Amino acid sequence: MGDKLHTPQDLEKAFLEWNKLIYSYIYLRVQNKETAEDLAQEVFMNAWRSKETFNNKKASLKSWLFVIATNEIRDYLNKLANKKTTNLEGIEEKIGDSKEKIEDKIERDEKLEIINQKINLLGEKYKTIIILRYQQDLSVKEISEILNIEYSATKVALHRAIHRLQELCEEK
Amino acid sequence: MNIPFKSLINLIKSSTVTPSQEWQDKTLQKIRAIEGYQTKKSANFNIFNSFNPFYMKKLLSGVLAVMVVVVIGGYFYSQNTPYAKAMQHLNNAEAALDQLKNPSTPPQVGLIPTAYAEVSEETTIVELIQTVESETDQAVEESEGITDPEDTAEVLGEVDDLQTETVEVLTPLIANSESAEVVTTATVTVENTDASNEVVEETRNAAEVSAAKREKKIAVRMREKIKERREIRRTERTEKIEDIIASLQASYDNMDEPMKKKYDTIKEVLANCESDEDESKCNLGRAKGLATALNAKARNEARQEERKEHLEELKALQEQNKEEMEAQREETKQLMEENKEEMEGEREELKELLEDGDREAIEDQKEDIKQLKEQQKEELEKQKEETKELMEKNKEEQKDLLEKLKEEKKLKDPEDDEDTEEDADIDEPEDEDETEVEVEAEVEVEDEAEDEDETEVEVEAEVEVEDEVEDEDETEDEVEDEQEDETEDEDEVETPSTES
Repeated sequence: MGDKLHTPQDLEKAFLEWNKLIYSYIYLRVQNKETAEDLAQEVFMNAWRSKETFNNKKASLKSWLFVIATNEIRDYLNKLANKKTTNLEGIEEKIGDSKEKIEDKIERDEKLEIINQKINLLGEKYKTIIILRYQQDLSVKEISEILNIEYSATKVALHRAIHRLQELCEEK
Repeated sequence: MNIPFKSLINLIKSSTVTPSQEWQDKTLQKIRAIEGYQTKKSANFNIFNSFNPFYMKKLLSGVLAVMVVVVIGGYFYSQNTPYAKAMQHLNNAEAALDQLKNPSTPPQVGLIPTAYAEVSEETTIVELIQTVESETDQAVEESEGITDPEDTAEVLGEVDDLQTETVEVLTPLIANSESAEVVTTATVTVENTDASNEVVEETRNAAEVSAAKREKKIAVRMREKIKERREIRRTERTEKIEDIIASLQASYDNMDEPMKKKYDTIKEVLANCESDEDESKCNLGRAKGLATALNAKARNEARQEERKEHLEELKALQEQNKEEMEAQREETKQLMEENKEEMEGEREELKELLEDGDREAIEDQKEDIKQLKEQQKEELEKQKEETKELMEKNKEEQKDLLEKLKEEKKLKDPEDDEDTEEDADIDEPEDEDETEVEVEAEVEVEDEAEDEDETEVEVEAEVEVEDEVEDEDETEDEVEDEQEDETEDEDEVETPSTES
């Protein structure tokens, strides 16, 4: 792993390379454009602030950025939970809202929207794993590094997440 | 909604979202605002590592600027070489001379500032004459800086031609001009030109010779010589006109008609001066000038003749050089051929030597091989004999053993009826079988050893024999053990058989 984060140029390079992935990952988790933008920007700024803790022998810069992103998302969702804005009802409301959007925006792919809804119905862990694996196209090893869990456990979790998602899709 | 796994994965993959360009720019600005970005950027800059059109533009413009500087520098250098400068002065002198030759022709723009003036005016003529002289002198000075003999010869050739032409142009001017200033200036110029021309001619000849000899450098020093010659001319001019006339008298017969006419004119002038009847016709300066010009012309002609001779000499020298070169070439060719022949001879000698050496070596090797074969044969025969001896020894030993065993059996036979268990342990018939087999094997080995010469077989036979001997030893041991056992048993039973 030859990644480094010594100079602002290194950060710029990392941003240009992975900003889309990080943003997409955050957006799919928080489902809000502005929040995703803020959090994604914060990921890179946090990375610069804590660049001394980055060890390229342990993990790649990409994985490390995803770890920061995961932590940012977790913090954000915890704050939301504390404010009681994200409860089951909220999610249901969200789904209801998005259903309305589907009706309004005919051009949008129905299936895709539904899949996103179903992913959001998954637990945080499964949701993260599915997004990282299939939307961000990360390897199982990278996911295990980001989530700090065993490789085999990651594989099992991924399998279960997919199974659960399929079940959710079959429900309605 | 039942979605297959693959299409589900594809759907998830296609659901990625991209951030807005605005956000990307904003974040990039924030990153670039981090302290140390600018300094690091310039420190890390390497034109060869990053392809940036901006830097490429800079590089290209830099290269272009260097090229322009080089071209301009080259141009200025070429313009400032002694050769170029000398040529420039010669051009200026020629332009001025053209003005003197053809007063009606318009002046050439940019060459000589004085050419703009009216050529008919006395001052202009004087200036033009002075320009011709000064420009020619400068050309001569510059030619001293040229080191290449060919270039020196070329420039001095031009100077020589110009000086000859100057005398030609100024002589009629001295004869016809009414202005005393023009006549005096022209006379002085002719005088100086004539003096300079002598030196130039000599130097030119020397340069041509060194060029013919293919010398690379030439050092020319003309100014001092020219000064000396001019001093001589000046003293000549101050001499009486009669002396000048007298100097010309010698070459009168060789003069052409116009020169003879001019000579006559000088005589007339002098006669007028001597008679003192018509002072207006006594123009001593003109007479002196004419005499000088005529003298210079005569010298010019003489130099031209010398020049012809010199050219002939040069031709002869060049031919000589050619001949020498050809002779050298032929010599080198001959040497090369001789070398080739010598080399071929040496090669052949070497080949022969090598072949002889190889033959001897091969013969030596063959002899060595023969000796080795003989040695091997001898060793094989020895081994055969040794094996035979060993076999015979073994046979004898076996026979002895068998006899011993038989005797022992005979001794033991009366006790067999009393102790049946001991008989079973001894297994006499088996031992007999074994001995028979052993004897057969020995016979086979003997046959093989006799029939075949191969040592391997013999060695195998030896091994077999040894094994058999070991077996025999074992049997002996067994027998001994059994005997010991028997004795022990007998001790226990207290039978007297062991004592016997």
